[in-house]
Amino acid sequence: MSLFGSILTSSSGLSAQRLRLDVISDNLANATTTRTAEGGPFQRSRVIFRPVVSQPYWRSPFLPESLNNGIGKGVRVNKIEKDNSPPVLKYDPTHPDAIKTGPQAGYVQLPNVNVVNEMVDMIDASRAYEANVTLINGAKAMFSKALEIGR
Amino acid sequence: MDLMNISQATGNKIDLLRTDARQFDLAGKNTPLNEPTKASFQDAMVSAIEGVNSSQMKATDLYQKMVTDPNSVDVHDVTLAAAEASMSLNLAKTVVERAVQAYRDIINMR
Repeated sequence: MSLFGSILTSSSGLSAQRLRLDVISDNLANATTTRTAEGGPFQRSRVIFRPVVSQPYWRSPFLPESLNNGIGKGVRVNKIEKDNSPPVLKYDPTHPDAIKTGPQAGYVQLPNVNVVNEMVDMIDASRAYEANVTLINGAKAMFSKALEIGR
Repeated sequence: MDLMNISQATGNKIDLLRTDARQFDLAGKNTPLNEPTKASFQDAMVSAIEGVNSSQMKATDLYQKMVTDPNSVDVHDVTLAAAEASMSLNLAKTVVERAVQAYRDIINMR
């Protein structure tokens, strides 16, 4: 690892958690949105992460040690996925987006956003962010201690 | 002879061990083997200080960006750039202090 290796790794974690918070805030803002461009109620989205690994320069099944990727290089966002779970139904016949006909007539399709779950996710994201910040501070403290060797 | 360029080759690129100066390297040239590199302390110092300077410039750029267009940068990127710049500067300072101390130790020998 280079001089700033662990700091760069943690900074990818910071960016990832920031993006997660952005997505959570979008979910919360649209917690009661019943009308979207693609039709139907808003669907909550969630962020899928995947690790960043340095690609091995030379890949051979005959040299198993060269398939080893070594230490990871942080996290990156794989994709932002829509949650396809069914919408919440609420009986409200006067609502303009209420279902007009069929067995569910009079019900409104509300987004599958659970506000409590989103708040828990938000706390999770903030704590993960804090953990990354703590790690950066720890790496910085180690670095300045290393500068004091032999003084 | 028209040699194939490295960019034309596909698949896994292997850096083969060259044992003779007549063997071609990755760029298609037969450069002399194990040429002693003459990196002086001055060159190393200047390039290191250039690196420190570029990290300071990066931090300054990010600060300016944050002031002029706050939506384009993340706060942690700015503070991290500043932290990296100060860490590099501290490292450079320590190395210079040690070098000057060594020089003084030699001067004061009597």
